[in-house]
This record gives sequence, structure tokens and C-alpha cells, in this order.
Amino acid sequence: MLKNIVRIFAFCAKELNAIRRQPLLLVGLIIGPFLILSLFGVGYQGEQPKLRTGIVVPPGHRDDPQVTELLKRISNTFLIDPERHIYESEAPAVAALENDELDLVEVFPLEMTTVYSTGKAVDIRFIYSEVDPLLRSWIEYLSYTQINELNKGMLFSVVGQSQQQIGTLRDYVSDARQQISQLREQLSGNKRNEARQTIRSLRESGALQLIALSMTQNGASETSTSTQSLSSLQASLDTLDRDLAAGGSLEKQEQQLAELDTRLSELDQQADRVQAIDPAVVVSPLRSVANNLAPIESLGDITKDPATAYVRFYTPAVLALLLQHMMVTLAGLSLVRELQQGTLEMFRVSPLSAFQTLIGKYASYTILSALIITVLVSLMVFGLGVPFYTGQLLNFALLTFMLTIASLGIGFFISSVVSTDSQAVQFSMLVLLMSVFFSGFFISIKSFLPFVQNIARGLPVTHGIANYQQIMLLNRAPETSTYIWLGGIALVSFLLSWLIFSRQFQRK
Amino acid sequence: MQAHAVQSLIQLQQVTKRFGDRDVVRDVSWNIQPGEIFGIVGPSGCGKTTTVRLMTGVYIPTSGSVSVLGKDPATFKASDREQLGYMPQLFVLYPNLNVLENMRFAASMYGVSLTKRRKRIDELLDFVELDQARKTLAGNISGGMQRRLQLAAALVHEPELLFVDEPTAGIDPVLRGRFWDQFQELKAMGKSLVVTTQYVNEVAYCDRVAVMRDGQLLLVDTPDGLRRRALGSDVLTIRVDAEDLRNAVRILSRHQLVLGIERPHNAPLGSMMVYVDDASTALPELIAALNSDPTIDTRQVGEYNPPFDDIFITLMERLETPVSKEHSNA
Repeated sequence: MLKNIVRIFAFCAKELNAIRRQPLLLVGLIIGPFLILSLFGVGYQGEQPKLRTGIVVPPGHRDDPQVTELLKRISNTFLIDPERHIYESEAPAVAALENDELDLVEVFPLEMTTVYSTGKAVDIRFIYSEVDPLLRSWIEYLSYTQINELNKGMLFSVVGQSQQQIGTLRDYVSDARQQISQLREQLSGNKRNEARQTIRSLRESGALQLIALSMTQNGASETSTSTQSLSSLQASLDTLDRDLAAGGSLEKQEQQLAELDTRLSELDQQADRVQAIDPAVVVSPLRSVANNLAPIESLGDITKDPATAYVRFYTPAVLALLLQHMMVTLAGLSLVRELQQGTLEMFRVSPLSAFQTLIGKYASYTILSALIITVLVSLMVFGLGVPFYTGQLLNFALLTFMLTIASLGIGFFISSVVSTDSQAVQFSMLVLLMSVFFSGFFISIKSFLPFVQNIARGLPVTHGIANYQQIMLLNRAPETSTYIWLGGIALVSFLLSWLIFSRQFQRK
Repeated sequence: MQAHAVQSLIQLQQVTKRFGDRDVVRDVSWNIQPGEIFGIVGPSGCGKTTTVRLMTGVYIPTSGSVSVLGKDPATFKASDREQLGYMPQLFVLYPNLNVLENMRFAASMYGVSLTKRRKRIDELLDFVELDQARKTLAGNISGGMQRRLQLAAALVHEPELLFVDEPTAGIDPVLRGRFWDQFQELKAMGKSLVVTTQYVNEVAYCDRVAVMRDGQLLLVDTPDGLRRRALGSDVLTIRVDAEDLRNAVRILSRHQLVLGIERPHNAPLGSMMVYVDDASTALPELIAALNSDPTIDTRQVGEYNPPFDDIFITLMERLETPVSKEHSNA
């Protein structure tokens, strides 16, 4: 039993000494990721790059105030050099795009200035030359939001003008109500001639016609009933005038006037309400208020210091990816090097078994992993201010252990099936590439089809990233399923490696 | 026969090892006794290493049987393997570990406890004269030192039986001699050694030698036995004054112990080679016979010990015909 333990630990000292003799490797493993994250923190601007944009305006409109206003509106998200990149024709702008002086050309047609008079929507063209699908999406998104903003701006202006017109309308309504009140007094005092005079004045002022006209132009649906009433009043005034001249009963006309006054009063109230609404509310009546329940205080204020927030967010992922890659590569090279170097022949003659060899190597690399992660996390916590909750120390250690043995299993499996160390490196790089794409490092695994998500879960780093983030950023323990997945990967890969390595180890 | 097999440390019986359709080792049989240095000699590719691997259990024979320490190596347990030491043909320790770390690794591999290994490693590094280089990386020491380190690593667990595969290949004659001195010391300690070599002169250091060619065992004998087989008998060289040669030949040719006389080419005048059954018996008698004629001036008498290179070439030439016949039959 003791001899077996001594045999297993033969590899611990051997592997650790071999790695200790490679200072460059240690520097790469520890200082490398720290420097990369530091550089990221120092250099990251926290926002998407502004697009160098050329604007094509209709000929002769370069200095148009409308163009100036437009440039002002879009300059927040687009980088526009007003001296060099405002064009009056499309060709030079496209040439600049092709020469990589610009990222985007935006063409404003002449019809834009007359959109309301023609009543037709106008196309604003965005021309770009981009292969990168992410940048393409970014440009299309910016184009969409810019047009939205422009539309809102135009709508805001229209609403403002309409509210001014409503003010005029209310003046007309006030005049009309004053005259109707005077008319009603005259009728009640049976001052027929004065009343006829007022009717004439009301007609001549045209207040009622203007009210009706304004309301028709503005298309205010709320006032459609009042509009009809106003139209019928025109006819009633004619009838009243005739009745006054004829000396007949005025009861019915008085009732009509009272009704009209009521309607005009309602109209005035409605107009008041419309006028009181903020044009911005009319243009954007709904606003989004997002509420993130995740306790992300540990990331810091992303709006004030986005670089720090991003560094803190990516650190757990970098740790997981680095740990997996380190273990896969070391283990991947390990067995095949014994084979290439000829030591396997010495092992075969010795009492050493394939199982002891594998377990010995697992033990040595697990110790190495613990040492490196301890140093690396200390550097990140104390050097970069990355959060670490001491209450999660055991969970962190357990997750690191499981991630290590699962990654080693994949590495040993690679090492047992390849025949040269360059093949081992190649396969390790493939695992790294697969991890970058599918582990959730940059792209959420939810973006993939379910079967691809399951493949991604076959990578230890997928669980490492999600759960290091959970432990380090959210102060939450990993789910049991994490350990089941990692344990499963570790077990299957160990059994496969052991099986294949035993066959290589076997006496022939 | 049974008793002989029980006493043998290693017994090979009609062992054949085939890779694909090629017999790398064919029909090899021998017994190796405890405490002897058993040499396997033959040209490169003759099957020496494969035979060693068959004896260490790295390979399983295609046919025939191998018994080492009284067991089939394929069924060896860890405790059986602890009795074997193995020095492979190439340096297979770790160049990025120093001499001491390599020794510690080898000791751990054989389960030598921490308390025992320190003294043992010190002794062995002293034995192979690497004590001064203990902190030097194995990749930075010379090829000869690497071989010695490999030997020390093979001995770290004090094996009873040591397999050494071409320990002297590619190293200078002085170091080769030192290796054989160390093997003799090991033998004196009671160890048994199986040593392969391409250098036929080295068979002189062995107790018994197996000569192999093309995967076949040609013969097993002691170094003296090999010499006798090559020369057909013992040979004495006698030189007399050139003028006395005729008389001397006349006297010796009539002597009952003399089987034949030959005048060697390119030898000094008065020289002759005298073939006898047993040099040790014949030598004093033949000197007395020559001295019986006072006119003969005997200047030099001795046993003829040709280099093993010559013996090996002679043996190969002698064995050429039967081997060729077997090849054509195969």
C-alpha cells in the first residue's frame, strides 16, 4: 500500500520539478492573464466604436440649417467631420468608403424637406462595406435607432406646432363664446335688433368657421361631435336671424345657443388638455424601466466606470478558460511525451501500472492548478479589485478541483489517442477554440440550438465560467448539477484515458 | 532436466517473436544461471533488444515459453518486477530534471521508501561516479554520464536481476571498460546480469555469451569456448631462431600432443602456430621437447589469444552456410 502511494507520488515531484524549471511557462500562466486583464481594464473604453460617417445632402443644402440640425442630432453616435465628410453627391462619399476613410455613408434625399407636403415616407440610405457580422448588425442597429430618433424629432416638432395652433383655436372659441353669451342676453331681454347685429358680427368674425376648419385640419377625433354641432349651428344662426326678423318665438333658438355654448366649453376644455400635454410624451408615450434583480453591485457602476465593470465581469471567465486550457495542454502533452521519450518502456518493466501513472499525473497537475489559481486569484483580487467573497472559499476550491480534474481528463484522453506532441498541441488548441465559441465566454450558450448547448456543456469551461461568475460576482454557490456535469466529464474522460493508456502500457 | 530448469534464473524454450509476418526472434532457447553475467552479442538488428524485452515481459512471445525468476514475465506481479532492473538502450530519463531528481523518481517508481532512498542514491551516485553532477540537469551531462545515470537508476531498488541493453554503444573505450568494471562489481555483489552488446570484444567480460544473428541463436558458450570453436582447438605460438625452425618443426610434429603446425603470414621469421587439445597441458611438455635439442634457440612461447573480433568473424564464416540454408528453407 505504502509502495503504491510512493509510486503515485513519483510523478508529483517529477512533474512539479519539470514545470518549476520552466520559468517562462510559469510567467505565462500567472503573469500573462493578469497583464491581459490589466491591459483590458486600462484600454477598454466601455462603448462601441463611433462609426466614421459621411453625409450626402442634396446639392446646395450643405449649409441648410435643417442639415446643421440633423448633424447635431446624429453626432452622438456617428463620427462626422463636417469639413471633409459632408458631400453633395454620392460618388465621392462611396469612394471614401471604399478607401476605408469612412465606415458608413448616409444619403439624405431632397424629398426629406418636403415629406409632409407630399405625404409619402422618404428613404434614407445607409451604405457600408463590412464583412464582420457583428459590425454589420451594429451598423444596422445604429441606422435603425438613428431613423427612429429622427422620426421622433420630426414628430416632436409637428406636435409643438399643433399645440400652437390649438392655442389659436382656443382664442377663437373664447371669442365665439363671448358673442354667443351676448346674443343669449339680448334674446332674453328681447332686444331683437341688437341680437341680429350680434349674429351678423358672429358670422362676419368667422370664428365658428375657423374653429371648424382648425379642428378638421388637425383631425382631432375627440372633437368630431363638437365639429358636427358647430356645422349645425351655422344653419341655426341663419334660422334665428330669420325668426328675429319675422318676430316669431325664440325659445327653440335659445336652447340651441345654450347647447352650442356647452359644446364650445367642452371643446375649450379638451383643447386645454391637449395643449397641456408635453410634446415629448405625445411622441414617446411609453418608456422602458428595466429592473435587474441580480446583485451586480460587485461590478461597480457600469455607466461611470465601464472598464472596471467589464474587467470584473470577465475575470471569472478568464480564470476558467485559462485553467481548462492549462490543464488540457499539460495533460495532453504528458502521456504522449512519455511514449515519445521512451520512458514508457521503463515503466513497463517496472512495477508501475497505467492506473498509478495516471493518478500520479492527476495529483501533480491538481497541485499545480491549486498553486497557480491561488496566486492568480490573489493578483486579481488585490491588483485589479476583482470581488471575492470569503464565504464562498470552499465552493471556489471545490469548483476549481472539479474543473481541474475534468479538464485533465480531456487532456489525458487527447494524450492517449495522439502519437506526437504536435498533435496533442493541435487538439488542445481545438478544445480552446471550441471553448471560446461555445462556453459562454463571449457568446451566451442560450444563443445556440439545444443540441449545441448540450455539446457546450460537455466542456468543463462552460460550467467553470458560469459558476465562477456566480461565486465571485453574485456570492452564490454553484448548483448541484454543475458538480454532476463536471464529475461526469471527469469520470468518463478518466475511464477512456485509462482504457486507452492501459492498452499502450500493456505488454505486447 | 527438470532440476536444471528449476535452478535457472532465466529459461527460454524455443521462443519466437513475430511482428506482422516477420520473425524478429526465432526459436531461441537458453538457460541463465544465478550470479552470472550473460552476454548477448550480435550485429545491430539481430534481435538482441527484442529478446531482452521478451525476458523483461515487455513483449509476450508468439510461441515458446519464457521463465524469469521461475515465472512467466507476462504474469509478473509488482513484487516480481521489483526484483528486475532494466537499463534500456537509449537514455529515457528526464533531461529537464537533475541527476538527483531523476534518481528520486526512479526510486519512487519502484516504491523505495523515503528513508531508504537517500543513502542508496548516495551510494549509487558514488558507484557510477556522478556524485559531483547530482545537481546538474540530465540534459546537460554527457552521453556517457547519461548512461551511467541510467544504470544507477536501474539499480536504485537493489534488483536481483539486471537487464542492460547495449550499455556501451557509441561511447569511448575507456568508459566502456569502466562500465564492465561496474558490471563485474555487481556480479561480485551477487547480482545476475544480462547484457547485450554489439562489441564482440566485450564478450571477454561475460561468463557466458549467446551469439545471435538474424533473430536466431547461433550458439551459447563461454568466451574460451567461443575461441576454441573458432580456432578448432587451443593454439600456441612458438618462435625460435629462424635457422632452428626446421629442427623445431620436426620435433614438434612428432609430439603426440600436437595436432598440427602452421606458419603464420606476416609473422617474424621462426614463428609457428601449434594446434593442441589443451594449451595448459601441452605448453610445458612442448617446451621440454624443444629444450631436449640444445641447438634450438627458443625465443618465445605462449598461448595464442586472437581478438574476439577475429574469432567472431571466423565463427560467422563458419556458420554462414547452415544459416543460409535455413534462410532458403524459410
